[in-house]
Amino acid sequence: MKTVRGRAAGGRTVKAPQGPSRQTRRNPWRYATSMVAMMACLGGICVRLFLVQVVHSAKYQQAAESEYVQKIPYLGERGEILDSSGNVLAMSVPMTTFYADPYQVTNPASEALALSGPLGLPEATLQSELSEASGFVYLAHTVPSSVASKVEALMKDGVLPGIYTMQQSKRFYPAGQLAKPILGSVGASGKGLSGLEYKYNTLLTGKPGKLVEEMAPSGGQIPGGIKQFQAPVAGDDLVLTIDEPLQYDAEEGLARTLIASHGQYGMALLMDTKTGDLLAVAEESMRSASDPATLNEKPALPVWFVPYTSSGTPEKLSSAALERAQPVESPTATAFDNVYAPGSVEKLVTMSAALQSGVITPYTKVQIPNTVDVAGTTINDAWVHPTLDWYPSNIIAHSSDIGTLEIAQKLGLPKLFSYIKSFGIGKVSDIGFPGESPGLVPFSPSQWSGTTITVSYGEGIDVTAIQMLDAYNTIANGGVYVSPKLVRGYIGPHGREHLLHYPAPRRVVSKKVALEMTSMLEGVVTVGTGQAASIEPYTVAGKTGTSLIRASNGAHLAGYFTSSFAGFVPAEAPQITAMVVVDGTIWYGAEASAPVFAWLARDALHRLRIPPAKPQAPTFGGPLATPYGAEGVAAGGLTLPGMGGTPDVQVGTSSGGGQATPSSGGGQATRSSGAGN
Amino acid sequence: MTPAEPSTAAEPIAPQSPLPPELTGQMPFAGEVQAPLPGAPSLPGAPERHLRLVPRRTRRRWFQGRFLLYAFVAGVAAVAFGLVALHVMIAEVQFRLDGLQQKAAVYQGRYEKLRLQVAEDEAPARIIRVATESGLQQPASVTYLPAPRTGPATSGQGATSSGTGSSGTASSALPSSVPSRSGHSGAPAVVPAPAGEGDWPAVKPLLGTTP
Repeated sequence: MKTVRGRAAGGRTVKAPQGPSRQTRRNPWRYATSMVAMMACLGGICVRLFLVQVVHSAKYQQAAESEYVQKIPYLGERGEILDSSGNVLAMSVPMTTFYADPYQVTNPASEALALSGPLGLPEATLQSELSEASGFVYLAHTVPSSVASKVEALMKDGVLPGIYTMQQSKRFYPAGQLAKPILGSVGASGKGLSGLEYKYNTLLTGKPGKLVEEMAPSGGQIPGGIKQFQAPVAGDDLVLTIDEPLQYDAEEGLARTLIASHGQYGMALLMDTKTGDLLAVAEESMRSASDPATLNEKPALPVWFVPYTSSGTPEKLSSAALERAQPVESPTATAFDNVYAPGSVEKLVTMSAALQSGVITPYTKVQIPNTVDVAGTTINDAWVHPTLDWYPSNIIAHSSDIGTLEIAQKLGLPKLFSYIKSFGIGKVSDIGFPGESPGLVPFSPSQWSGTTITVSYGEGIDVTAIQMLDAYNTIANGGVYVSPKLVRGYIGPHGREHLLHYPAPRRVVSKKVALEMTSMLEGVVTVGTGQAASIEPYTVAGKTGTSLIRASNGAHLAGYFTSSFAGFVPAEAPQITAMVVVDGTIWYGAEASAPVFAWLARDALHRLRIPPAKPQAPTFGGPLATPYGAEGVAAGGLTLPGMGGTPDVQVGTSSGGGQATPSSGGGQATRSSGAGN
Repeated sequence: MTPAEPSTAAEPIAPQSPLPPELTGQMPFAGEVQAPLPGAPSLPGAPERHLRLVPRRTRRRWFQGRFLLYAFVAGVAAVAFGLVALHVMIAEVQFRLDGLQQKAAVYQGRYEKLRLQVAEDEAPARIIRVATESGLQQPASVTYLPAPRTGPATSGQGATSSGTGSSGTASSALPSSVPSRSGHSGAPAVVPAPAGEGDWPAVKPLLGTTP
């Protein structure tokens, strides 16, 4: 460009515009190319700028923020689990956790030495942690207050640069091991792993919060930098139907009988008859090498019970051995996830179904031979007897398998299974406990065989304890099925309790049938196999059950039973329904379970302030059960050979490899030895 | 004031300003004389006057402008100072708030720990352990005391309970002749307790008139 100096009107020197230079005029392509290249570069820069600043701005912003913005998550305090009276069964408490920024640790060796004492950690471990090439390392999680105060004192003295504290919640169970299988457990991250902690994890956890702040490379907060705190929302409190004192009572009673009866594991359940609220769900097992989870567990209760030898004398054990001999809480909620053959307690369903269907009445006499042949399988009653001619009340009271089987054959399998289903057996309960089993019930006719009829007295069918309890509660409720409840509701942030909704009650059998059954079940306790469950002056209605245990190879374990007792009190106006199951015991239901039922029922009646009813004449007009031998020998007045002898649980032989048939032995144990009275 | 003669090309170009010299604060050129007072008669033979006095109004405007400038600067400084002071106050309050929140968290933690302690102390297992250590035992029997049926209790009716020696059992007022609902004869009102010794006679005096 050629510049021409000139003077403008104001006297300023200006450059006169000139045309393209000679070179440009000579090579216009070079000019155009360089302009295009420059524009292309400029365009590329613009495009890249657009991509960085607009399209991917969030990504780069995030990457930048990750360098200097610190986000600290704050978990909401986990909600508590309360019993029905508000007693705390599980709660979270903030505890001090120590961590270090190794970049700021000036002398790892001296700090490790100072920390090892109060924290109780090896000095070498601490030193290696403090020497890590990292900006964050945990030193000790949720330490006790006494320990925390010691370390914090050192921190105040400036002895521990680079060591910091934070608050983390720790889950506590103030009642110790009480109801542990039901409550479940929580992992280190604060997430429920099992039981109700798992099922209601979302409700209990609440909403997490966070703290966002800009941090300098030195680790300090940048003054005036962004700082946002979003407060976490605490989880809701869960209110159970469990009553803590009754739960303890159930666990104590169960522990005693497990030790005394040499049982392997057991369950004791207590239910409010009207509402279906589970007041206690005790689940314990003895330590077993086959179940490693039980080996390192603490005893279920802090009180030691002296075990007895098989001959009935107290075992002399050292304190350590005595502690190891105590039952522990079951690894899982066996009342919900463990199935077993119910044995004679199942007869309630069969008899109710037959009465409701009109197949029998309380006045129907049933011919009961000593043995019957079913599809090639010979089935014996629990004791040797001549042909009996019994009312249903005596069949129930003395737990005759063949008498029940005769009635079930009149009823037919389709109707029997229909009622089994109506009573809530064979399906998961409305509680929906994690891992709950529906049981093993052959509902489909394709699963039936000639010996399926044995389900009428509790063989060939596997149920959970909660299902059997529901069945008895249905009769206690006048024939109305009420859903069992384990969680009553939850308490929200405003302190208001919200009740959970359960399915409405439904009628299974008529009130008349329920009363007839109640009367028969009373006979079990007054003159039959369950006299050990008597808690006079209260009236008790219930039924014993004893079934053989199947081994993994399908064979029965001789001499070991699943003994159970289910019933309700007071019989004339039921308030409490209870069920006790002891598995792997050498005792029958009348000995192993009925006394525990009495223990539980009596204490529950006292706690709930239910007075004994005034003695009154029977309202049920049917024939009452009579003591064994007072009635029923069909002809000839034969002497009863089973009387006075030790009963045997006999297994029928199957010609075709069919199902073996154990029998109820509880009643015979009572008759023969008087144990349990 | 008349504008200056335009300079020739050989003369240096004077810097141009949009403001008149009296407002820019420039000194008068050499050779200029001080202006006579307004209204004074010009002397004969005196050179032609090129200068005139700045009117009072203009001078006032000039001072006003300068005053506004100073006021603006001072205002800006005051606002800046105020902002700094406000920031300091906010930071100070934030520090106090942080401290209070920290204190509240500490007290909340202490409250939770005390609640835990209460819950542990109320646990049935602990109560039973303490009771056992204190020498309390399960009763040997449980006595039921039915309320009087009609009117005040009379002999043979109503609530009675008595210890019966070392066995620790007690009789009930339930008449044994009344049949139970199940049709069987009435039962004794004494239920064996699950465990423990029969110390009713020892305990009874401590209870006074209560059963």
